[in-house]
Amino acid sequence: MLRNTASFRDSSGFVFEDNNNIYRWVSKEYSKEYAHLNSSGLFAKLLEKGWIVNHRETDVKLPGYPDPLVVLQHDFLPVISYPSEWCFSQLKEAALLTLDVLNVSLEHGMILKDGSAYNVQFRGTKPVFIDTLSFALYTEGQPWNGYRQFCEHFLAPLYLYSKVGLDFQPMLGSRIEGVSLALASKLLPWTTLFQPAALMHIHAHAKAISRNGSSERPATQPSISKKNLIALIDHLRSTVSSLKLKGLEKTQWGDYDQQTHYNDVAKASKALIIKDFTSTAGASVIWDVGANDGLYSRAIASDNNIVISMDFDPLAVEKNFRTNATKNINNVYPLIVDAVNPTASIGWANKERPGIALRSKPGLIMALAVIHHLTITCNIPFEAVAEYFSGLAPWLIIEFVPETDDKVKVLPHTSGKDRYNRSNFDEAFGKFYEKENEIAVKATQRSLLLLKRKPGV
Amino acid sequence: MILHILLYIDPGIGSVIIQAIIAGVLGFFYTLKVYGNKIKSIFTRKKNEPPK
Repeated sequence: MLRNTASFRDSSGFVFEDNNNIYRWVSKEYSKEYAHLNSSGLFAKLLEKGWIVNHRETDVKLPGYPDPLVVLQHDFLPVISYPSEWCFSQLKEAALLTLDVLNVSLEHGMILKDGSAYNVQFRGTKPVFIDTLSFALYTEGQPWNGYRQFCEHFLAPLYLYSKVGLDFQPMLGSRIEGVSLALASKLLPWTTLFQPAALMHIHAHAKAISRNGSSERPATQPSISKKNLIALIDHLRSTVSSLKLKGLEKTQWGDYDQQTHYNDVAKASKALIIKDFTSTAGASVIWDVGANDGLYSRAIASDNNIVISMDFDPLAVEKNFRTNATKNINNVYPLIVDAVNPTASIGWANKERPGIALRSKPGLIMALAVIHHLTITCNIPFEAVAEYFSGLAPWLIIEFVPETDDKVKVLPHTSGKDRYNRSNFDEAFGKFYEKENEIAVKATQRSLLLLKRKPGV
Repeated sequence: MILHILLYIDPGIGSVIIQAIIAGVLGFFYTLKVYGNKIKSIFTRKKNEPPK
């Protein structure tokens, strides 16, 4: 039984894990709120709408901790992802869900304690609220304490992406508090001063924070009527809804699939081979590294597995997410993860929000049309790639793209390019893997390999 | 309003002050809109009423 490293700030309770069982120890200090959450019908309402993760009360004991009010067992979510890994639409969906949950809470006499993007996870393409202890009793006149956090976690990054085209992922991946409003205010074009939403929630908000940054805490705080608070939430909702992503079609890789010389025969052949390899490996969690828009992630996803479909390009991930949402595909999880710089651990003690490899344990890695980029463009030796992948998962599906391939020819002449050939590839990967199978992709010079980690590696 | 709850995160004093102002402004326009719609609906109803 392990206590979740992100669960310590709120004294109302914390999360602990035992394999795939997720429990929440709820403190006796949360008794009034917990009772109201249930008796007011709020929890039932949120559950009915599919907005909150379900739980049941258990009699699991936690030795060494005080007697709880109750211990809850939550439904298991197969993938835990963070805002720095989300595309624009994912962050937008999570923002809208937060506001919807807040609105329904107010209808039931409760309010959210915070406005954190980390309160939201994805179940397939649908966002779901996971922090059952975020609900506080609401009294008329009370402001929403999560307003600033909401603006920093959601509104500012969405605004920057929408108005300036600035990817928010690197900012959210290094700053756990989100994008500071002072920074957002500086980066947004001056024309946004004439847009009421940006003027109020970002520019004036940033000014107010900096002006009162060192003020003494007052004994009283301004009162906000419920009617005005609802008007504020409505306005935030319509603002977030109206934000659009520009330039979806202009991505460097977004139309990669169309540009490549891969024809339909090759594509069909590739899909068939990877499906066959995937069923041999039998992994329940698969990482598709360099997934682009997720075409081959969808090809291998089944009822028996989930595929984390990773790419460094936010717009390719955006396309992936939208395709899955339209087709109602719920076992492919598009995430922005750069293979050469995967999501790092951040926050308190560098453990609060662990890196991707600490959150997900894949049984199979699939790396299609990636090896030449890693070895030549990024100059990472074959052996380093083999060592890293074999440390992550026991199985690997890898596409070898020969040096005679057009896609390799156009790459820069790095030292990696000099070493790039099949015999060096076989030698390096042979140290870590045994070859289970290799099949040539029809109508190309490429081949797909199914590799199994050697015992003892 | 007296602060009596233990905070889980720092809402920021400046943020709470501006929140009250923004909510006040938005609440005012919201009320205007509601009444505006009510007045509008009176006229629209009259217009659509069948002639007596």
